[in-house]
Amino acid sequence: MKKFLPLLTILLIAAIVAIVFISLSKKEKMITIQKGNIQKLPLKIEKGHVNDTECKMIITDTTYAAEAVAPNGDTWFFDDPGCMIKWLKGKPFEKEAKLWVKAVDTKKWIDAKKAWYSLTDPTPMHYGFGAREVKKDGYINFEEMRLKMLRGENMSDPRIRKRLLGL
Amino acid sequence: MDIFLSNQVQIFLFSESIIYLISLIAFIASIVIVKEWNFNSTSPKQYKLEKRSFLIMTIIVLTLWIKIALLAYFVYTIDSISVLIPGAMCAAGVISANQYGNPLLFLKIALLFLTGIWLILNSLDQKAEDYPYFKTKLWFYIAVFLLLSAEFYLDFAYFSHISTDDTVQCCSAIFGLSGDNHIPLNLNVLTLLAIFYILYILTVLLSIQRYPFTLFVISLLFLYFAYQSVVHFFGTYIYELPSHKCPFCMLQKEYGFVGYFLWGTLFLGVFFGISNFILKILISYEDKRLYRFTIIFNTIFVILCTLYVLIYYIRNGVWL
Amino acid sequence: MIELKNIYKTFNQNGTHEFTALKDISLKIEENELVIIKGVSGSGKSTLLAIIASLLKPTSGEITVESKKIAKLPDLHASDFRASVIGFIFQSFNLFEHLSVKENVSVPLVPLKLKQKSIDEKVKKALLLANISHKENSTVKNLSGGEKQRTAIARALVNNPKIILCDEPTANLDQENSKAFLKVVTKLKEKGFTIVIATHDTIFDSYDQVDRIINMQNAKIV
Repeated sequence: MKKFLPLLTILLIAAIVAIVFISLSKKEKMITIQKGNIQKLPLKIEKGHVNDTECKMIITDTTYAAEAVAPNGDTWFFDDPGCMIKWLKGKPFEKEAKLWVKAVDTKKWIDAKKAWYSLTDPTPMHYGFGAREVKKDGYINFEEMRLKMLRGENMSDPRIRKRLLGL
Repeated sequence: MDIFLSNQVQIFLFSESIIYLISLIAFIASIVIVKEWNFNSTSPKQYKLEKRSFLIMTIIVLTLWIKIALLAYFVYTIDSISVLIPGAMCAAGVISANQYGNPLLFLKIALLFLTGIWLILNSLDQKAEDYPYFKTKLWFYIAVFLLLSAEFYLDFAYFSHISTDDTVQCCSAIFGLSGDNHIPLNLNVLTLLAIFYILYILTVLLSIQRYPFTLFVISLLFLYFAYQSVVHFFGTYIYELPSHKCPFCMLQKEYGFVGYFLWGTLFLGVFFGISNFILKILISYEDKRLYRFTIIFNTIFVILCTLYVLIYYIRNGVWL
Repeated sequence: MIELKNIYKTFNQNGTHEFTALKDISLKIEENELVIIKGVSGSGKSTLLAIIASLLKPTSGEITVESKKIAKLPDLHASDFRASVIGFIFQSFNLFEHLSVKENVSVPLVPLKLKQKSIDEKVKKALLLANISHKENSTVKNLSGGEKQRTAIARALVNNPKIILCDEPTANLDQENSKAFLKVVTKLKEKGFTIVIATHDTIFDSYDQVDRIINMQNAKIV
């Protein structure tokens, strides 16, 4: 026992060093921006391998996903239309960018500027703006959604949330 | 500044202020005592110092114990104000709300360990008849107080710079793969777990063999890798969600406040693991009970973490 | 055994009612000595005894009892020392009137967390030594002055101390009980105890067991 324990201790320390050295040679890759999307189409989001450029979350659910394509084909991904609006503000291609959102009703990628938005959806970042292809009562258009988002008039504000949900 | 309207923040800052004030009084008294102290003297001044020192030590003991409790309350406070901050779903988002949060938390944890060391020093000193560690513990307290002052400043700086308008990152963003806190050293979950369990076994072996310096180093590594393991693996079994990686959410009611127990046992295990080395440097003292406590608390921590995984597997038949 | 060097004791130092009870007291008491400290009320006798018993700390000076510098002991250690080395008999006995003799005598054993059997043995021994066994179940308030005195003695002896300190032990006793007290003291001296008695009772003037008389006046030894 007297010799065994020190030997075991040294072996375990060596094992840790070995594991660390071997691991240091590995790499991890995460998609934040996809280049070359000249056609400005909505790209497939591989769940768990793409992260939202604005809030940095890994996109594991694409129900409320959004994409912004710059004129040069660079494509950014978002898990929440609100994130896309926040990120887009101030970008040089803010007006020219092609924006896509996932429609909650038809589950298709649609033009964000033509979509209709609910105010109270359970979106990942709690902004509440879920896109729809078909207009219904209470839905707002893109421009109104953009303004509300930038002014902070969304479900992430507890007072707005209270008012919208009628609590 | 809206954050100051929160009851928890008010209670926390008020308590911190009172404790700091009392600590300041003890600090000033300690400076005087440590300058004049000469135990072998039988002069009226020395007898007065001995009488006063008993009071001062009692005050310090009380304030430091309250500081330990206030750390838990700090965590509870930042968790409870997460509803006020956009984007934050737990304390993780709140602590990263400004540049003061993480340094403040690290300082509080460091102070937790230093406080523990002082309490052990004081206990040993008071058990002896001739105050053998008196000056050492006073100097140690003076050093701790300087850190307490930094902490006090950071408390106010942190809370006064929390904005209820700016969005913060939630825990998935912070602790997810693409966040700043991905698994270090390019480890994957399996290798991380291997290191976690190996380090645990090492803390046990080194405690049995009583190597204070090596145990000190391994304990600190264990703290780091245990934290990473809880965030990236064990926590997901507590939340029963593979993408939920957060060291703070488990402090909430939904998870039975298990986080307090989990982190508490880890901190205790690491504390006892590092304390023998620090005591050896300060006062050439080693206590075998501290080795025993290291084993006990680290084992409870590891068993608790492992149980969550095993119970999930037994109930569901699959791993996450 | 007991050594005092340059002991001063001042109450309310720097206050409006500053009072020096002991001035530059130096003395040595050897093992198994029976020493009488004589002096009128206010001469400092009780204060001196309290300092030897570590009930009070001196303002300055050094006191060594059984090789321990007791004035330098932290309070907890001073209490432990007092419990194991000193037996104190107070002027007004300081007994619990509503408890029995046996219960009063067992009080010093409570902090030691002994088993009941061990407590009973020690109490029995102390009661025998103090000649009060026959009253062990009697309530203290029903005892005579002499019997209370002997109960106080038994309590002082129960922890098997080395030193017995008595502060005006015969002040509340009649002649007969005072003589009975002297008999107990003789027995204790024969058993090897060191005994210090602070008194102004003249009955001790002709007591042949006394090894030394120390006279105190105005806080000093004269």
